Amino acid sequence: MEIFIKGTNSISPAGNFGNITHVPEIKFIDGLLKYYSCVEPVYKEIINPVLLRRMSRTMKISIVSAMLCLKDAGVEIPDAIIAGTGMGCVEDSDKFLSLLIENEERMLNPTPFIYSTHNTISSQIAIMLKCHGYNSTYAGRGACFETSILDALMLLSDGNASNVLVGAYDELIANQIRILYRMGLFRETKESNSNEISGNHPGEEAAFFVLSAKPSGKDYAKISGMSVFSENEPLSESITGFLKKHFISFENINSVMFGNLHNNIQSGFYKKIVTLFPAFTNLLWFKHLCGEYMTSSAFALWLGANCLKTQQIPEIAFLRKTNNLPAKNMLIINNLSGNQFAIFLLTK
Amino acid sequence: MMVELIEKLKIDIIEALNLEDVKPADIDADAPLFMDGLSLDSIDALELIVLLEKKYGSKIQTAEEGKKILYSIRTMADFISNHQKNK
Amino acid sequence: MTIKIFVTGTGIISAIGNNEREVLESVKTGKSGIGISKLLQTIYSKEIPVGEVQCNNKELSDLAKISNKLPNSRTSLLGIIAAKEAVLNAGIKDINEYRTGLISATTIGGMDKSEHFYRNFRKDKTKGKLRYISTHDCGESTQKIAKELNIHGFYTTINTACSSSANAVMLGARLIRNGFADRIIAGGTDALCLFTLNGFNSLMILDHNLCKPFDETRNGLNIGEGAGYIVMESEDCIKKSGKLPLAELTGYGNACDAYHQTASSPEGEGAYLAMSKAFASGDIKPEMIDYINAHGTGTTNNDLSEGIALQRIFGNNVPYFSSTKSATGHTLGASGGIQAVLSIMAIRNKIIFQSLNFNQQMKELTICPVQQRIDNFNVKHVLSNSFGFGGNNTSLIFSAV
Repeated sequence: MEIFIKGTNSISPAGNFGNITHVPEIKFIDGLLKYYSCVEPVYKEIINPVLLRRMSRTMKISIVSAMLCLKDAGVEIPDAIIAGTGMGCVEDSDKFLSLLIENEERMLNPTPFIYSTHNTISSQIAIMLKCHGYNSTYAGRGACFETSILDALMLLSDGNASNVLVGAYDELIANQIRILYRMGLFRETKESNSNEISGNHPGEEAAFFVLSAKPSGKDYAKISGMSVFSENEPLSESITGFLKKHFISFENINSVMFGNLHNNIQSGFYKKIVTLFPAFTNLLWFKHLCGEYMTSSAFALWLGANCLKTQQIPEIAFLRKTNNLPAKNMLIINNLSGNQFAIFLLTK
Repeated sequence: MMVELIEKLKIDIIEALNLEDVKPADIDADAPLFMDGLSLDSIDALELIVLLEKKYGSKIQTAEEGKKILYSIRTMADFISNHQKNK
Repeated sequence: MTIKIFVTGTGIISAIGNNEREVLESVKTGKSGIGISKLLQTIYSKEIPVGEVQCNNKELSDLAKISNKLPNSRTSLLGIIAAKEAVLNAGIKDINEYRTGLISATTIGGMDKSEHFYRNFRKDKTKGKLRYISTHDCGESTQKIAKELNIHGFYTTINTACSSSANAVMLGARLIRNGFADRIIAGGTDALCLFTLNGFNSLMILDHNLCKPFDETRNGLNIGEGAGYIVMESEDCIKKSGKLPLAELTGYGNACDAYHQTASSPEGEGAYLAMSKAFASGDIKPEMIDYINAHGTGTTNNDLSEGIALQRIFGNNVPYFSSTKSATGHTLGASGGIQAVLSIMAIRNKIIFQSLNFNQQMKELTICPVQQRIDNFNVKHVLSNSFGFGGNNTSLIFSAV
């Protein structure tokens, strides 16, 4: 079944779609630990200050993104709200945990505890909109954002919803960046090497989509297919099978967007896949625009949807540019944490 | 003493509850805290309970007790004052 | 024609037993698992009773039949034990014989280990054993369980606070119905940790004595820990294997209260909607329900909200209901899964479980929970409620086959 992207919004390091002409500003923790951070909006314009006072950074970013997305889609109250988040509300978790240890379990402020729960954002959106519909949150490593999309697809297919708000959010704080580097997931960088363009550092984002089973005439694109595969299964078979299932051949794919971290797809996971596509397929990448985090597929989906709607692909997104445009479709292939990878097929 | 305590409480509450746009002069010491004025809710009540214990050493034992003590700035000040007298 | 969803296996570990047999024995004898914490290192161990599983992590590793070489959070260990029991009880020999997935739920993930890490990390960012923080995120326990069960198919993790594992069951059923899987292992796991104990304490909703769900003098909840999983299979799968199912999942509903982050609406709107949707999703009507395994945490707010909602749905005919949290404690993300297992236990053993510590009817309600266990009751249909912080409400209906 195809679902329509009626509206979308992303608040990420990359900024607005029209401004994606260069890589985001690289920031450092402790002088060595590279990361990207979101270009933040003016919150007071969207969120009531009375509510704002309690909100963590990720909550503010996510609420603004969700509200702008609904506005973009022309939907006031969705029928369902579903979100995915890898690490949840890290700032509040860190705050409460630190307080707990520092104060030896005494005199603890409840606010960070309340807002540390992973589902707090989907709930807050529902509270603000008085939306009693289906509400769920997928969390942790693996396919949390992808499951949100799958869940929405099933709701739409069952006729249990007409408009589903689906989103993803992941935030960075200093302590978490330090932990990620200490765990060897990223490598420290000396300042002189920081000119290399890569996505090999932590990033963050909030992105939302309004999905519908019916075309509105102003949709960004259709999600014509989505699957999550285990990396333990033969990759080329999984991808070939996916395309076959959706009646499309490798030759008919205009562009494929990969989740590689470096400007070099001749190594690692993507090396095995890139040769499946003919030489005239545009090859794109996105993690140099948003960084690496568990819900990065959401950024890829937002970017892809905007490319198809505008029929423009930012120059900086190309790994290999051919004349194979206008873009009728785009395949997104992203490796996820937890030894899984996701494929999205977007069509005009 | 009470006047000073009330003024200090106002400042502490504004900070603890992150009431950015509120000044101490805006808060009437006798007005109910949980009605329209400041739009405080149950989460704020819990934060005020923590504030009273942390900064003033005055512990509220139950939510029921809290409802009476947190009625207004003045009732909070009275509670602190009585608590400190009895120490 | 809607595909029927059958439950073929169940597994559980909680403060009242390390497996189904022990748990059943405990509920039959009205045993409570709530008391002083012996394993959780907290200043409140003598003051705040909890529902602790009576095994340390080494003992849990032995029960889970896994080595201690890799870091394992307590949440993972509990989950592996219960999920393995469910798969064993379902008589599954080759888990990948059919398209099998895992939907697991947790609110706290590996926080029990993260707390150890943070003690050292907080003062010096170069300190803290990385093995303790490597299990932090909610998906880690799911990945571990999938690995232990040798699942090659789809797996994912849900966190909607206290309704997490009920949502896992609901998602699992929908995946089967929509043709994405033939068989799903669904449920949840949560371990006791300082984060949640102190978190709930900061909200002043913990009872410092044994909790009293639906009692007029109730004071709050007791936190517990544990895990509960069920194996759901499609009709086709059952036909092929010739298995006799334990029960059928005949309804599910998810709705949001949309009222407040930590309180339920006074009229129980979210609860009412979740239950209504559960009835609307299948052929079971309210008058057919024999027993309700209530969310019944023992907090002033939940029990009122849920009680009002029950009266709204069932009118003057509210069926027998009880809160098994009075025995297990509130196991947070695991509670939906644990309640699913207990609901099926009620059906198979023809028992209506009692609510412990109840003495006085709530003045706002016209109903009371079951106070004495009822045996030899033909329990055909059970409604199980799980209502989470943030207003994430889910209700499940299980039926005898």
